[in-house]
Amino acid sequence: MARRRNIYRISKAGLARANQHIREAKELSRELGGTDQDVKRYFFGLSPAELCLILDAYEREHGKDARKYAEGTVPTWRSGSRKMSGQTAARLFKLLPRFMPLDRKYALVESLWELQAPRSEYSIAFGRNADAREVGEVVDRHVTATVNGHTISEGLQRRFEWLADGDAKVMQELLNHFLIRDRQLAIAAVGAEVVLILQHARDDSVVRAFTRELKVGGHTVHIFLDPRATEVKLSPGAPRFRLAFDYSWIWALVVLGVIATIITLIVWGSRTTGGRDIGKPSPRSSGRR
Amino acid sequence: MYHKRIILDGDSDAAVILAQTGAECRAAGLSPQDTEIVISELKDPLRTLIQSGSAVASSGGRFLADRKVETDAAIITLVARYGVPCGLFARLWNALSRGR
Repeated sequence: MARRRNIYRISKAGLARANQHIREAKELSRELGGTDQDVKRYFFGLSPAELCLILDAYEREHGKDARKYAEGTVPTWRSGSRKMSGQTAARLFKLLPRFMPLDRKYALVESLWELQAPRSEYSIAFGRNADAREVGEVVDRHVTATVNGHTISEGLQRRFEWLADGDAKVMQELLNHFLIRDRQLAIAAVGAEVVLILQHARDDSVVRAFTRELKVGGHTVHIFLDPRATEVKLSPGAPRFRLAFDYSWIWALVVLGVIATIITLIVWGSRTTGGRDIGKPSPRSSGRR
Repeated sequence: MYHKRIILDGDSDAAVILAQTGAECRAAGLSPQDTEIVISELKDPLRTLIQSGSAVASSGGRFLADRKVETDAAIITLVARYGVPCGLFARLWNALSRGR
């Protein structure tokens, strides 16, 4: 009876430990923003020297036994024959950002940024008489208001926090890298193009269409020339306009029409010839009558 | 009066077009002076259209514009089509227009 109780106790303790590991794995996944695969890929791709530095720090925080265990099981984790426990993974991944160069951090966040960045779609229309500076200002105002730190999702914020490892300066650098830099580059490029297009629209050229998509993270802004527009106008969604009608397909339609007519004439001709043969009374039948 | 329609796209080269147009003008019976006037009038709009179109198309934009260059002896229409995906019929049309 006592033995049975003991087994029960052990299994209960084991279950509690397993549950704790599952909780920790979930917590880690949450902390990594739900995309822990790229972090694991980075970890398993570390050189022995890089891994040694991380394991030294691991030993300082969790003791010699923990290091020995981690050191011994890294090859089996890497090969996939054994799964990392939630606790060990959490402990190791918590140390990673301290040793990770900034460019690797950017690379890690970049994939997440593509997936988790907030999304929006707007259109900015301008007429032939618009002022390029005014167009630039509207684009700048809209993009600055839309693409900013406050619009980052909770998951992405957590990943930034994890990568920054509590360093506010690094956190700011990461944010700047993805928000400000891309934003300013995109705005400058669009501004230059609008100046060019307005020059054409004002000289003797007839600008039939100009559209340009500005993409920063998940935000899309369609900038387009609307010949009817009298002011620079921002509206939600994709632009509602029609391009100048393209008549190029009419040629092909004419060619197809001619071919179809020829085929019809040939078919009709052969039928009428055959019909005459059928309709002709044979000399035999007429003789019988 | 010599008429020509030139379609400009990502493959257009200003120098090649100018040389070709000059040769065609001469072949059409225009005098060397008239040909020179046509080329000098055509040069700037052609280059700016190609430059603008290439800039817009390289950033994924779309740019469609027409420009008519008129001299006493010729009317040249430049049609810039940048960033417009060409369908089969449009390609056929372009080939026919270029051949003319």
